[in-house]
Amino acid sequence: MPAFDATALIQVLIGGIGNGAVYGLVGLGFSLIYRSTGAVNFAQGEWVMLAGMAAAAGFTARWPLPVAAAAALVLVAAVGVLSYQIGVRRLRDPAPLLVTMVSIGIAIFTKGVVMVTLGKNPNGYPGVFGDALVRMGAVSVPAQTLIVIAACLAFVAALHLLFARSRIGLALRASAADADAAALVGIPVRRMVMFSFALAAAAGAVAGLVVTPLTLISYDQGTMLGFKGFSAAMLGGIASPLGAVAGGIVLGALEAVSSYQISSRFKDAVAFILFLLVLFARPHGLFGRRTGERV
Amino acid sequence: MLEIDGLRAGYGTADVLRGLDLRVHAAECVCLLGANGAGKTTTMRALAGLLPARGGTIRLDGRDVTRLGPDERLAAGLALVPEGRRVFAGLSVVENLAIGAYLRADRVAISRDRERVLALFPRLAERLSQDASTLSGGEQQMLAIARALMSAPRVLLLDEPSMGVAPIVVRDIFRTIAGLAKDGLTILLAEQNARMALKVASSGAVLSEGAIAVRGESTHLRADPSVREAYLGA
Ligand SMILES: Nc1ncnc2c1ncn2[C@@H]1O[C@H](COP(=O)(O)OP(=O)(O)OP(=O)(O)O)[C@@H](O)[C@H]1O
Ligand SMILES: [Mg+2]
Repeated sequence: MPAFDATALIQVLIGGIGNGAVYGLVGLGFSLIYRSTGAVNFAQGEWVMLAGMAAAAGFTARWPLPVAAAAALVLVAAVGVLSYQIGVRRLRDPAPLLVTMVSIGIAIFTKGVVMVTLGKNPNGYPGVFGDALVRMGAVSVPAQTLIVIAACLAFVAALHLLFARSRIGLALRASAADADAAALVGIPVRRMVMFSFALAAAAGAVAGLVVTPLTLISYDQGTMLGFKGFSAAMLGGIASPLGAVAGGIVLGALEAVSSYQISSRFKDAVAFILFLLVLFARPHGLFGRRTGERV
Repeated sequence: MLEIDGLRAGYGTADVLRGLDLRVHAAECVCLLGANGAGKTTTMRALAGLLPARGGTIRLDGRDVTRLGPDERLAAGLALVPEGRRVFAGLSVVENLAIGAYLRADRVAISRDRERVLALFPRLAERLSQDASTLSGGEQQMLAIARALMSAPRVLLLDEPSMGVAPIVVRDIFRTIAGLAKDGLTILLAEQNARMALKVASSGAVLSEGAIAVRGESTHLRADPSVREAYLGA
């Protein structure tokens, strides 16, 4: 164990919060789909991976980076809508377990298609400020880490505004709270579920786009990102989008500190341990506290 | 105004409604009585479009709405206050009212209607920013009615507004319903509480075995021996 070094610890923490912001965005996606369908969307992590891979492919093909990133975002949102069409719309009775099962199929399929079309090699592109470091006193962190945190906060703020202020946000909340009652006030409930899928996919895509310059991305990284995001959502309460983001940041920080203090091999186990602790501390999981009614 | 002919609806393989015929004329308040499980809620859900009709027709002002979705029926003027209130948890009182007017775009008329329903239910006016799920049962019922009124309906369907509400508040709520009826709103009121329902409704119908068994003026039904025995406890 290294001697205590406050500067290093702060650097590690900021890096961890950066990872946590990514987990939080992924967890936010889990939460949005859980609220509207009651299902756990196993494809969420693959959407993160797909965004990074698609943007990297665009960048490799010499597209300007903003164009590649925007195209990847649109692609992933479209995949989210398509997943709704296949995974929910077509089912006669979209029970949560069934939707969850279909999402596993979609996840495996997405991973396979990406491997075949974009290859097995890790891929990436430079961050907005390249590899620049930002110095704050003795602490220096990669500029891209701050971009990740800022992107997460911006997405959460935009989503919050959408939910709190807009007509469609109000309709989304009403549909999640009580689908039948929402239909009775004239809300097209199915379209709201579709919109939730698009938003969840967009959250995953933003996570993938900002994390790729830091870590590179390959076709097989979606599963672990999905698991971390799911743990984040469980930790913060899967029915609460803001809780999922908070859960992600806590998870990222704990991972970073434990791998700094104990061993980096320990990092991935942290999510698993937290996940189990949540399950043990709340025998019904945080699912037991769900406030949303499924559609 | 509302014409129901031969309506069939149910769950699974069983039909709960097996040819229900009912008329509600403009500006009339009709109550639909029936024992537990008679199919009152099934009727209401079928009318609002939450449950598909398996047969028969539902017409609103002569227009066939049988195959329309809930949103189109609401747009046509048919609003349901569902059994058990179903206010939106996590939304404030004022947000519940706003979402009631989801299909409307006329801001001025909407805010005028909001003032109107808040005058109807002053207890809601004192709790505008409170989460709807933290309201008492009676207040939630008021909110559910107010939310439906925010759609500016031409026919109001009420499913058991007395359920889970303290007796004193039930009286308040029924007084308000009577007021709405007096102002000319067309109302179909499903109730187990026949005594209260027959007081506000001008006429009633008794649902039994999936169809209307008895119908008539409220005064007439109150005197009917079979109705008295089964629904008025006398
Ligand atoms: N979702 C459902 N699935 C299967 N059967 C149902 C369902 N809902 C109601 N039923 C059955 O349909 C019949 C009619 O029920 P309904 O709720 O319409 O009665 P009701 O007259 O409203 O009764 P109450 O006065 O208790 O509200 C009952 O036998 C009930 O068990
Ligand atoms: Mg009922």
